[in-house]
Amino acid sequence: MADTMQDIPVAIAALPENGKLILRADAQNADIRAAIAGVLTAPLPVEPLTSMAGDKATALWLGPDEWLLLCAEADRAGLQQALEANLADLHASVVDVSDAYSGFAVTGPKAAELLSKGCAIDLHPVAFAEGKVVRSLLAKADITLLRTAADFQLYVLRSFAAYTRLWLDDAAREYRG
Amino acid sequence: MLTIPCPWCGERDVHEFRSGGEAHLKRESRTDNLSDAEWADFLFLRANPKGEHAERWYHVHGCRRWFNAVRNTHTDTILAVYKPGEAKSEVSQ
Repeated sequence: MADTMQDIPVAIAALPENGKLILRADAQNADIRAAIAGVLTAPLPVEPLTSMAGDKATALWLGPDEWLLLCAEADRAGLQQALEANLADLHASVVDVSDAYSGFAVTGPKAAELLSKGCAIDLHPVAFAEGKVVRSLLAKADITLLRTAADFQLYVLRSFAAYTRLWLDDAAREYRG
Repeated sequence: MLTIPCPWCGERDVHEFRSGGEAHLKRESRTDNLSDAEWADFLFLRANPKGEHAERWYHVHGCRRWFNAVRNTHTDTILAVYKPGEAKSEVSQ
């Protein structure tokens, strides 16, 4: 009987509903960077495939002018309003996509091995350290994959959630004793 | 596994990309001044070299950005990649 997380080779769980905002802006513009950093209390990650955790939200690099902001479900409207207020006169957009995506957490020592069955990204900790984020494919489904201290978090379009869950559960069968 | 180096994301599986055909095509601003033959040439005729070919590629399942690549159509080797707006890379053989 497994009684600690370490004893379970891999565990899959739906992430609780959280706020997800897509931010589009020119990161070369210092005014825009300052306006966003003022709200997020952390600089926007401009280095590809990186993320930055602030007090209110975690910013995930998705492209050279595109970020996904993850925040608490209760904060999503407030965060969007605060960003829009700070960016009012600047060329940028903030769109609430919270209900468009579903998230899963994949935890355990075999988590990377499980995801590697359907994803061509090198998930070894040396190549894919905590805080790294990629958009890629998992078994033909578009995913946004983030490694946190505790787990892999992956976000898929809501219509892919049932398929992704079935695929993950099936791929995890060999690890269940 | 065939990989393509995205200028932003690095080496990725070819299945993450979509090909956009020949790069650096220029559309005349006054297409009504073109002859039918010139217009047809712009619309339909493309270079089809055996060897180096500058192409547009779209990282559709990644950062969703367009970029340019010089690919050897014979060996399927990507010789250079560069971002939109950057000059065509000179590939040294």
